[in-house]
Amino acid sequence: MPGYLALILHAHLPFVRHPEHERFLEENWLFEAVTETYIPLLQLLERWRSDGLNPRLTLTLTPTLCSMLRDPFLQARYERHLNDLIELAEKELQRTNWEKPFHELALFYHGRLGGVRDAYAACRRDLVGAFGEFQESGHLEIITSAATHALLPLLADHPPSLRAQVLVARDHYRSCFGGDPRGIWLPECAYVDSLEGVLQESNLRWFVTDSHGILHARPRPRYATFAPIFTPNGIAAFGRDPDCSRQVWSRHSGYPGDPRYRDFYRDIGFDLDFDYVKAHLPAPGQRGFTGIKYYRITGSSPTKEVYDRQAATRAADEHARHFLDARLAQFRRLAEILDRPPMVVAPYDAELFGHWWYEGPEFLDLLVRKACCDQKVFELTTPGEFLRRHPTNQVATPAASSWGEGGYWRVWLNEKNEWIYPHLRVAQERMTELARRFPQPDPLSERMLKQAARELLLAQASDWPFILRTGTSPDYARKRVKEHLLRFTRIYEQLTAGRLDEEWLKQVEWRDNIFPDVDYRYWA
Amino acid sequence: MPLEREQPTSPLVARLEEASGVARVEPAKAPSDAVAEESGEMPGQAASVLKPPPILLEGDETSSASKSGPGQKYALGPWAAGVQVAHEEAALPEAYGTGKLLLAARDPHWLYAHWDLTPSQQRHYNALSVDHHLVLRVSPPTVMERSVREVHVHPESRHWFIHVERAETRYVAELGYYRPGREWVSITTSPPAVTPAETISTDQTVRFATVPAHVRLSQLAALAKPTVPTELPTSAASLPAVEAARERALAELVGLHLVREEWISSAEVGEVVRGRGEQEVSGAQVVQPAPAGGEAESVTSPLGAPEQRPRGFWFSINADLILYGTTEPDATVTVGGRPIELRPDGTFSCRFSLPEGEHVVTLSAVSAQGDLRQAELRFSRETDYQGEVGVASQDQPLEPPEAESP
Repeated sequence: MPGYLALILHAHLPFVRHPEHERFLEENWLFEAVTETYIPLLQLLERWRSDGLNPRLTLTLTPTLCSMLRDPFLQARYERHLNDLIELAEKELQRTNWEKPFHELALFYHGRLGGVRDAYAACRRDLVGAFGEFQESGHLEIITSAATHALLPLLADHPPSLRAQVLVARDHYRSCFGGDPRGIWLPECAYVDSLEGVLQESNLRWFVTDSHGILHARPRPRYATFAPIFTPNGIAAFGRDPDCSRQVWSRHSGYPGDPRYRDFYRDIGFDLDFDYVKAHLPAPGQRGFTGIKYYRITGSSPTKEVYDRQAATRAADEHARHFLDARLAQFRRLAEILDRPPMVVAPYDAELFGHWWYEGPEFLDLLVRKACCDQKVFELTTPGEFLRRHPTNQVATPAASSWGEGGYWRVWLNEKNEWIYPHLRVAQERMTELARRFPQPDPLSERMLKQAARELLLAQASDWPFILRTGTSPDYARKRVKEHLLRFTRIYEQLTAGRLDEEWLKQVEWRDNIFPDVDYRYWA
Repeated sequence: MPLEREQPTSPLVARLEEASGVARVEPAKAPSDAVAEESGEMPGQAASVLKPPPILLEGDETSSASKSGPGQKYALGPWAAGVQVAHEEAALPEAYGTGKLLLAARDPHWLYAHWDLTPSQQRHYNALSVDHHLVLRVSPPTVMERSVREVHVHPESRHWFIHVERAETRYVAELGYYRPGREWVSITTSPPAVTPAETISTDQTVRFATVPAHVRLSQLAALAKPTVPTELPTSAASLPAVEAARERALAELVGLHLVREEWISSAEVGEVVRGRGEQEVSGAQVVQPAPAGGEAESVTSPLGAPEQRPRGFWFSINADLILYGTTEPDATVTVGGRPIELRPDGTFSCRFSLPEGEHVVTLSAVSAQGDLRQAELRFSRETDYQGEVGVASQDQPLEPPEAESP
């Protein structure tokens, strides 16, 4: 009996939008991910469909990411970014005229970027709609996540906040895709049993936990991570497969560290003369990534060799073959042990494929083709599809857990970021106070209440404490938390005192314009 | 239908308990797990020991050498991004003065406590305290008073990370102080927090349910029926042996991975530096035996070992060529066949990297009326090296020469 492999890609970015600046460094997170991950993924889906393959992947598109992808302002900025980049690629073609290996790469980038521009135009800048079409045609299952990707266990002692994060996400999903989401990606796979009531209310049928979330469930799961369990409310919990993770993520032996792959950090934005690149940098006056990178990882020494695209593609093919062989061995072994078809769940951050690991899309493509065409030991499926076919599963309560370092909440609650929580606690309670005090507000007060909800949601994003911990952009993360909390507090004070500053509100509504129809009553 | 256990603990449980036992015996090396963190530093005693309390080092990154490898989540460059934004005026309040004690479980053995006292409220209580600082008492609610764990906190702290013995346990915290005569005065008590589990359950009862996908969860209670699955082995006599063998096999497939040598999380994929087959040891990181929940190097420690600097004296060079010129602003100029943009005053410059060999480039200008002028330049580069000379990357700003006026 064949087994099942669920490839789940979790696409998420925090809401970053700065119309008050001509160029803004952190908006590059979005532009880079669109160029190197989301559009290539769409192109893969397109090719698979036209080749008659149906790998049935699962894709999370978080509410903050969808909001940005659908925002006309950011769409226009992305196009400007892409055009800039193509212009830079043209300059590079000229500059590397006499250096054959670099010139070949410059040609490669120029061609690629042109293809991305064409693809963006072909879907009329609507990437969310394009992914939605693949869901409608049955090729993709799109799931939601919490509204601003908050770490839900740390909100769990304020149930209205928990409820709001999930219901706002569900509402947003409806506006993007026309129906209700069936599955939810718990941010960072962070689960605690008090989430269940809220998931049940939204009729969310399944989620993913890290391996130990299932393995430590009470009572003990009979099939380890190779089958989902139903929580007492009937929601299915799927456990991440450790093998699939290690092969791809592992710092010691994972694929992305192969010396043939492109080095993420050797970017011409840092390597070349500042005056030459400055018009193409993500933020004025500071060096940053352009996306044009000429070197491969090579090894541990600082001297890097030129990126050899063919060798890198060969590496991707080897790794896809290796991953497939590992799965075949795994499924064959499981077939000897288990009395039901095993389910292996392989979730990854989508941005791994293409952005952090440039050859990731090639790996995915080769893997999917091999899985669909070269074997019959397992089939690719989605958790939702699995539940339709296998509605009988063991009942157990998953253990509180996350896929973050340490397995619980250490990444988001440590000396670098603990200062956030006391402020969030107070703000959350104040939001409930406001929601209860103003059940029928006048129009201006209602706008204020909705904006208070937006500010609170944005302050609750788990990205900020994460960034404070990993240190990639700590000043920005700190500023975001502060600003949203300060704006929230000001709205609270104005509503409490009955003195509303409409001019100031307009400014804030213009800047933090996520979730236009947010229902502040979820906090009541 | 409960399955009978043929032995008190299955191999899977034993392996995991052993793993957690190992983790408990060996203190974790990363600063974030230092048990000493709650001891803090008392002002009077601090003078002779100038080390910062380990908790303050938690999560600190050492300065990273130039990075390499695949990307890292949110990375904008090889080092932390500078702030583009303007100086901020307002600050968040230091405290709200609600007097509430917040308690959160962070993982199976760590709690986080925060008390919302304003500085003057805190000073007031400190003054009343015989120790001149406050004390946190942490215990499961049913524990006898004398078993309560006490943590003496720094006079200016308003939060603390507390190590606790038991996973999967409900804890409550109380903030207070001692008056003279060791009389306890309570300031505030927290709601309970439950530490997560870290072991496999010993409860092996198995219950199945059938949940039809098309039925809403809210209607489920009426419709879902516990089901006896038909796939279970039917022979009762063979059941324990089959189960034990199956458990051992599953343990091999899964249990091994719970004693993880590396933590696999989204933050860490960018920290892969080494290719396959290379030994990876870093002085800054220690691979810990992981408890069942898995734990390993800190995500903020550097990527593998810092990159090797070349030993001894080093020298790198490179060469670029700059071509520049001027013409009428409405002319069209091409360099090597490619059009090049003119500045408003009709000047232009462009830069080529100049490798070894012979190179030819043609510059041409066509006036608005169609008049063509051309120049073919020939260059050659030959380099003789003595000793090891590297290739420099272009990080020195080179000013293109000013265009001369015609």
